[in-house]
Amino acid sequence: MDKASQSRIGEMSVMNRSGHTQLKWHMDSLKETAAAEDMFNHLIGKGYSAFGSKTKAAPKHAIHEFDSTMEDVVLVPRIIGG
Amino acid sequence: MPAANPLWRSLCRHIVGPGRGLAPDVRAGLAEEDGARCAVQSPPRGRFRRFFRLCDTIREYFLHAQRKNAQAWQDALQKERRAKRRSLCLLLKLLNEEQRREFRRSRQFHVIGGSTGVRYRIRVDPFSNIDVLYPNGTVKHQLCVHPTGEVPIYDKLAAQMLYLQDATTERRLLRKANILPARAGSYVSSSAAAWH
Repeated sequence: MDKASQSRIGEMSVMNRSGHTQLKWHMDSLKETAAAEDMFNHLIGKGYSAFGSKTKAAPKHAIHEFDSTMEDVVLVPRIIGG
Repeated sequence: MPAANPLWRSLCRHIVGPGRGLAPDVRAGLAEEDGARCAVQSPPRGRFRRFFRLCDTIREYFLHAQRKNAQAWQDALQKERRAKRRSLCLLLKLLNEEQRREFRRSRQFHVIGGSTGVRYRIRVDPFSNIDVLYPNGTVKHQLCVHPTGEVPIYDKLAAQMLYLQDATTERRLLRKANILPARAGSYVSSSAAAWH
């Protein structure tokens, strides 16, 4: 199958007490992208920090807005001094 | 307690029959009180049977509660192990090849600060697990900072690494972290020296 014709999948990992939960979206699906964006905005509002990269292997950098073209996004809870 | 005496007596009478299990003088008093009623009551054997049935019911109840507690404990332990495994998977996914190899070998890895360029060593430790290193590899001081919520230990490591390697979030982490002096005996592993 032609690789270009396949839709790319984005993956969002949210750290929590169960390890992490994952949310995947097809980048060409508006519904899935909107659901992922809603979750992203909700968690950012709760104080989470987001780190993402265009490809899975690339190092992550901080992001402030949802980008549906990112393949890998990790949401980390707010940090506090121990 | 005088008020409790009649209650105690009637309870004893109910369980083991009139006068049984009590001091002789109390038993004599009871015998007088009961009088002819004792003669028509069911034999003591039946009362014992009822008492043992009650004991069995109580024992069953406690065994059931004990089993339930043990099951709940097992479930919690299993959930914790699963969470730890999942967080380890995420950490290994986020590390680069070099860091992954170092982590597998010595359960620690090095990160270069995104804005300061300082080298950090992150260890698998619940508290003050970030060593801030001098260029020669010795420990300058330690940082204690972690994400909120009860996230598993490997998620803590992953969060610390993500924060440190980004220029904007490194500053934020350094502002929030508690700084502790280097522990005596902090050493630099050969892998750490090679990594630089």
